[in-house]
Amino acid sequence: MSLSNLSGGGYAIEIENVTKTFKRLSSHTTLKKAFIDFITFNKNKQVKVLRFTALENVSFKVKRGETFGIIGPNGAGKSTLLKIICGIMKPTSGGIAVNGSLSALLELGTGFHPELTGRENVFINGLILGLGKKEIASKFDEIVEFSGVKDFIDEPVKTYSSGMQIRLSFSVAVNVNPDVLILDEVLSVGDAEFQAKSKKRIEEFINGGRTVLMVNHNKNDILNYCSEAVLLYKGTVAAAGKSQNVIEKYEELQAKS
Amino acid sequence: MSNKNKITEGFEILLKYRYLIWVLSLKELKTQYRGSYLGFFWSLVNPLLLLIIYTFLFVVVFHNTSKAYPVYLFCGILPYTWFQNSIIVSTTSISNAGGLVSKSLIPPEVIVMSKIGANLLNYTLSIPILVLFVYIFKMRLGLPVLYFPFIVIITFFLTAGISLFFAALNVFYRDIQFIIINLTTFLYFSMPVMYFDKQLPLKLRRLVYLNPVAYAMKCFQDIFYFNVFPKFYYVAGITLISIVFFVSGYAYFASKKELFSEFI
Repeated sequence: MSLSNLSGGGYAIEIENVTKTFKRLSSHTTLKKAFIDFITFNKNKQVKVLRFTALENVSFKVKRGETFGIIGPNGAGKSTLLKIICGIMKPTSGGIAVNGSLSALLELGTGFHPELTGRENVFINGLILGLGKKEIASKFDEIVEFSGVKDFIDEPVKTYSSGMQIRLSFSVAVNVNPDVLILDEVLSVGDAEFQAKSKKRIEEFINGGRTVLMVNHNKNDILNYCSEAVLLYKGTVAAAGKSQNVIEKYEELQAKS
Repeated sequence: MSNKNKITEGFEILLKYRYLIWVLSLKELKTQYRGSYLGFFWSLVNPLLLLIIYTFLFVVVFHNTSKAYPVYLFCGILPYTWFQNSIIVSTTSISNAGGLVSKSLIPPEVIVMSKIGANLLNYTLSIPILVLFVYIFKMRLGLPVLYFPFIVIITFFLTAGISLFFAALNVFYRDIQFIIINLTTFLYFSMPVMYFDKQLPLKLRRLVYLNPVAYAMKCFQDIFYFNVFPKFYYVAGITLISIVFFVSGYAYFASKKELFSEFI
């Protein structure tokens, strides 16, 4: 889909009528069945293509400098939507425009290698997240300081506790400074002290006039950070607008089911 | 978008991410040897041990009396190992990448290129051993060595084209990885790497030289063993073929890459 026909004025992310349908073969697809399909001209094929609509006509716009929340139950299509916004996945139909540089934290520790030291991993992870060589060098001390694993930075990451690994990867991620940051449920990592620190960092980021799009299960987080939000439910936008109203709608839905 | 645009776009991506490709290649190599006592030294020891086995087999068992036969073996085996390992590792690189493909913004071709890069580094590390052997067997390296970097670049693009193609294909058909292991072994024995092309019957020789990799290996042998300049039409031919392979392999990869995250 062409993106150029969507205007850039004032919006950081624009999503128009995005639909995503996954195709997959029926389970127990065997070579035998495929072979039978191949040699017989039977219309009743043994190998069936199943379709699953993960997103249907999803549209919303995120203003520049806004913190925007996406909330919804598991399987509502939140992660699929984020992947489409990031360009990792292609929508079946619809258009997306992201204005400005984009960085995404869809998973902590992507590209972390257990055999490498913390120092090496910070470097590689930073590059993967889109930081330059010089940027990493200049921010290195800050990243390590923030993570609180300074004493172990030259040890292999496999010797770290899982909490330490997550803290280190989170520290790299929050030091990337894109125009648009996408966060997939990564706010609540580490212990209480670290969470307080990371919330402060995210607030700094928001106050710096950058756009944040976050997926979060925690209603309070959405209320605290986001001015606006959408509620995804079974692949469609069930509610959109002020985050207070969206949360109320979400609670209504939960009460019903 | 026209095809031409897509190709230039591909080169732009590789250029933009060249530093990440380099760092990931180094990472591959580092993690390969991390925790071992010999470390990078294994890149030298591995081919040396292999060479001893082959020399025993061909010189002691089969009574091969060619001059400096181990050197001949070495100049073919080393680049072929680079070619073969790159393709085998690349084929599964996307399907096994997990979060690096489905949850990060780096273009997937970076992953494939870094695997080839790591194997190229391995190859480069083994060159001193080859040169050492050339002198141990009282042979000479001359001006043909000037061709060496160029032949390496050609082989790189040939390898990259094939690797990108199979890496993409293996995402959808996981059988490819098993086919590749057998196919590369077959190619290895079908080419004059362990034997001389003169030993092949003429008809078979024509068949063997339908394979572009055989020309690349021939060039390596010309440079390090025969000490002659590779034939111009060989070099021109494989340059052309490697460009065609690279562009078409990459084009296939690029046309499929947005589907990767759904299938891994």
